[in-house]
Amino acid sequence: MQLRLGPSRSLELLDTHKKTLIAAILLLDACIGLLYGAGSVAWSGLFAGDLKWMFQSFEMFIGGFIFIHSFFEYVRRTKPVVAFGTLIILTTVLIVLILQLLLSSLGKSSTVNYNLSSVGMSGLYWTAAYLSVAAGLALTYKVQRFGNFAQAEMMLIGAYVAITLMWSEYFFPISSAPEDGKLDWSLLICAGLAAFLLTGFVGVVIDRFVYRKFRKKAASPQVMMIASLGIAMVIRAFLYMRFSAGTFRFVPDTDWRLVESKFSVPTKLVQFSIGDRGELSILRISETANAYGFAFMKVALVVGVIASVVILMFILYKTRLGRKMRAVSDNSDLAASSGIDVERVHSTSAFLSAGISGLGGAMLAGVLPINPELGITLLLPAFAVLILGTIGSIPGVFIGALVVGLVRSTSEPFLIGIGNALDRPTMSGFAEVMPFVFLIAVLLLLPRGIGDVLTQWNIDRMKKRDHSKYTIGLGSGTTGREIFGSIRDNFASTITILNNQCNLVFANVRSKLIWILRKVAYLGNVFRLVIALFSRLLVKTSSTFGTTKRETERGSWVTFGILFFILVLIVLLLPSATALTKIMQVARVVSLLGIFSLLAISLNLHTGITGMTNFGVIFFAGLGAIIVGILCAPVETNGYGWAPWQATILAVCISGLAGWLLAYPTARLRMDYFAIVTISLGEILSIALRSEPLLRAGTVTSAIGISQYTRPFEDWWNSGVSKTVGSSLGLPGVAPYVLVIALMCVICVPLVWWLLNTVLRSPWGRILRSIREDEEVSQHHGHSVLIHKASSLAMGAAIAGLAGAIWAWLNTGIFPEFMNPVRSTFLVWAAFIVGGRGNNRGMIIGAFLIVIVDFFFNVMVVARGGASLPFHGIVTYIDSAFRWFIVDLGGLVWSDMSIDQVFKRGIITANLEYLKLALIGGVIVGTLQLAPKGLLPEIPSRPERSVVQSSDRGKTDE
Amino acid sequence: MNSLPLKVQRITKTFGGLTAVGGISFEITDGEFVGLIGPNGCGKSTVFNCISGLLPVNSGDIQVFGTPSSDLRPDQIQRLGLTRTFQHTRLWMGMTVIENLLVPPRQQFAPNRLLSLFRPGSRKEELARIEHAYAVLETLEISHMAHNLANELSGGQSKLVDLGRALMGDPRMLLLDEPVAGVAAPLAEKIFSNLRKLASEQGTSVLVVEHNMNFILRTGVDRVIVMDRGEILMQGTPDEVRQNSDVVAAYLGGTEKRSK
Repeated sequence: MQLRLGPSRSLELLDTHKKTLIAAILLLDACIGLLYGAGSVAWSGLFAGDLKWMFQSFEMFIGGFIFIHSFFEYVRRTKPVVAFGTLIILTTVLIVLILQLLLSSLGKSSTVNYNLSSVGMSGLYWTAAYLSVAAGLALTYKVQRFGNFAQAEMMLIGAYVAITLMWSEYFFPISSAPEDGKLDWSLLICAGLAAFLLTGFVGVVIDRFVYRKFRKKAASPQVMMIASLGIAMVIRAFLYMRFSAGTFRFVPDTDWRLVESKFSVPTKLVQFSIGDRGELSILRISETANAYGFAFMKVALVVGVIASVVILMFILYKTRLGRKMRAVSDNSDLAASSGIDVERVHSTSAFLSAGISGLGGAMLAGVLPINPELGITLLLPAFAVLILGTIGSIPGVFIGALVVGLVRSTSEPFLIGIGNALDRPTMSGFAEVMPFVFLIAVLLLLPRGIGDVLTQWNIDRMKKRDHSKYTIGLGSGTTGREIFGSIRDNFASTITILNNQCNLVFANVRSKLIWILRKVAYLGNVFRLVIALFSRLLVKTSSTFGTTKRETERGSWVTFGILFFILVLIVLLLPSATALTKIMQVARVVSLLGIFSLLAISLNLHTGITGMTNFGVIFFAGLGAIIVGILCAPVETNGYGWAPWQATILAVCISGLAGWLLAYPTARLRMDYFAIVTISLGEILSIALRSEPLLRAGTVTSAIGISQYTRPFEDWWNSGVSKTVGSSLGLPGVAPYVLVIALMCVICVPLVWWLLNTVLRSPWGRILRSIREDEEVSQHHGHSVLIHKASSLAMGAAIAGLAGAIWAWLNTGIFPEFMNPVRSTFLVWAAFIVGGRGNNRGMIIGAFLIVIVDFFFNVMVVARGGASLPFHGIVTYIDSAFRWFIVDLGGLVWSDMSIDQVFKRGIITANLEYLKLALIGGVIVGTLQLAPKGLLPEIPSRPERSVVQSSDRGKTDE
Repeated sequence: MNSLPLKVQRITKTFGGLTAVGGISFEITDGEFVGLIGPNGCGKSTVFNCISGLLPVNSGDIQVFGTPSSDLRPDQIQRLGLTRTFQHTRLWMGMTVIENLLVPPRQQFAPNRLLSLFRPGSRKEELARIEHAYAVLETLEISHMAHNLANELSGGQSKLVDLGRALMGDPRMLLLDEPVAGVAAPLAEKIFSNLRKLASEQGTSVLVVEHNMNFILRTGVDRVIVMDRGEILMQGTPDEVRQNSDVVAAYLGGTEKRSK
């Protein structure tokens, strides 16, 4: 119903002349700055050292980018493809120009070595890796119409299926067989097939039990997307618990890892020199490069993934099933009424999209060491691929994957070369985030992806090509024929092995079947009980506080009060060893509650009120935390030695500013693009924290992370106040510092809450809500969407920045792990969903629940230590259940080897941290299904007439 | 203000190969009540989209109250005094009816104590706004629905709220896209007579797209613009239109068997 007719136009910022003028001023200023050390950045005197050139290059980049943007806007209308080509060239020229100026001003030179084949081939295998996720994503987008955040987890499932198969009793002798110079194919083929089928099956099961229910309720794509995030959390948590955080690699046969198991690709070395290069020419081509070895395993990845995507395209465009899928994607109601079984089509597409990712995962496991953390690093580039290829178009995804793969592989040598010249040897870490940096740049220029014109062009080109070229092109030549020969040889043996395995497994199963069934029935009953209790909590309580009542101001307050009281009671009843630990525990709960409440309130402003799906909560919080940390760290250890209050004010301001600026490129983006951009920003910041030396402080060595920063009131507290407070609380020693943080939270949260409520009740809140509902109409009623979104983003970001600062004080150190969205963004999202969108009271309750769950699990981890500790019984029970699950139940499927490889020395315990993650993911999905409005739903505003007029409802409401 | 509320000069708009609007020009003067009619797909809504800034024109000029508006954003055009409604009613579904009406007024400021420090009297302004909104709802006879969510309304009621919402922005020029489709006939007549009054008494210009030819010719519009295939077939008073054989041929094929 909401037709987007012209977003690019409706949110145009400035007219072209103003833009060009600003760009020219920025460029000129930056050039002067870089060349002569003058210009605004230098004169302002605010920046010194590395910061100075960073800002100058940034300024120059912005200036140049605006130039390119206006040029592009001008040319695009007449010649889109030419415009896109020149765009790439111009941007490259701009970057090279900046580096040239920068390096020559620093008197340095840099050489970038491009091994052409290496870049091309690794580009190809990155293409395949991204493609296997992106093809599934695109299919889901096409048929089910939502961005599936669990797609990368499907890939991980495929990878672990392959690894488990490798560890099985039948295949392990093959994979660990001595090198005999002969490639064994059986395991590779089995693993590929098994990964495809099993992952596809998992996809179907998830579709059946989760997405189908949402479809029935006609849930919005946003809800489906958040649910998929919950599912991703659950899957990832289970993978962690089963396979631990360690990395494993899939080896089909030791021969695959031999030095000879490679195609040697002749190559040339191209060297670019930038900067103060003296005699050297810019570009040199040396012939004497060693041939690049393209490992067979990588070939398997590339061939496997591309072939399966080609088959998918064949299915989609040439078969009846494909026609049905396209019909459902166009209009599912219409498809249903013309006799298509829509649910079956959904299942098929879920199977195919998951299966392809699974297959890709199995092959990728042979190339890269796999661990569950890999998910997000593959998901975000895959989204970049999807957006570049214009969402939902499978041929577009091909092109997108090629572009993104090449961006990744070319950026790596480039970053290494530049990084070495700029004393940043770790800069190559940024290669990982290059795909989404590139994506953000593209979105700035083309808010709708590469766009309809280019897709049309792509499709035409794809149509002209013969599909068979893909498979033959990579499999030809003598080596290729050998490979196919060995496939034939090994096929028979593979079948025999499979047959034997099946027989053995069935024999095993039969003997244990009855015993299992009993256990399963028991588990099923427990599960049903839990579900019933949960739904009673969420739904049945609404008979006493009915939803309609909770949607009034008073009912909402009452429910809030009761829930808050219960949660406080739980905190007070949490067991603790001594009075001191109890006080520390409560203070910590209060501090975390404060931090999470602030983050949830900020998320509520962004997502619940303004309707922008913000998956980058940690980006703003991290910004606040990092600024506070780095500014307050002592000068001698790379810090700046600021006072905490100054740093906090600056952190809040900079976070807010970042939020405001973020609106410019993103205000006109679709909901799902915004989500991807924000989650990518968080990742970029995380990589920056890992790689950028300026973001390290607090230790004498250049260790990663920020620590040792001063915290507010710490000196005052330690100068005797802590003792007084300690004795007044009846403690034997001094009171812990965490009390100060708790006190600050107790002051901050109500203040921010009140402020935000005040603001939201004003006409501004009304306008923001109208933007959430339909921004185009708001704009037609005279409200600038850009300004309102920017101010909402800025305000929320400032609140998140404050929360980040408090978090930094509580944590006493900021390490890259701090930026992991699993530990912050996703928890805040859970609080947001459970608490109730659009209601700040709900945010507090949601945050409280999450914090208590968190604490409960922390207590349980400790409880493992001794039999006398509280909750020890529960933990032992969980552990024994987990052991039963892994050894007894899972043992039917996987071998002892696979258990021993993961759980060293036979210690099989459940990782409670990830159990918590699974629980929270489950709660997100469950809440979205059972009570989509959350515990405390939004209260629609109903302003009354002040003067009671003759209207018939005036009296009843007074 | 001497400049015309709306002056459209030779605008064209093409979608790919299809010419939706082919170089049409027309003007609307102060306080004029004009109907825009034409068969399905003749480009009426596209003209609206171009005027309100939703779609860029391919060529031609649009002036709203003397300001060239073809490079302006929709909100800037609205601030010039031109408000439009959409053919498919697009209310803010998750908000109450009264809130829907309270969004459009310009120069809104916080009514609460803290923020009214920055602008004294804003509380009073807010109360006036609320009062105004209820008054508008009363004229549209839907004040009993004020506290319902917009998605609880029927199609006709939504149309009314949409119209009320457009009136809340104090427009000096209204573009209404089928404002009374699905509204009961007596109320529709009343709405049109109110619009008539708005035009003649307050000097608000109104341009109405209406499908029902008979209806628009009966309700006393000053002038009718007839469009066909992206071009203006004719302009004139309702009587002139009624007698024009071209119009009858192009559009009114079935109106010989007039019901009343």
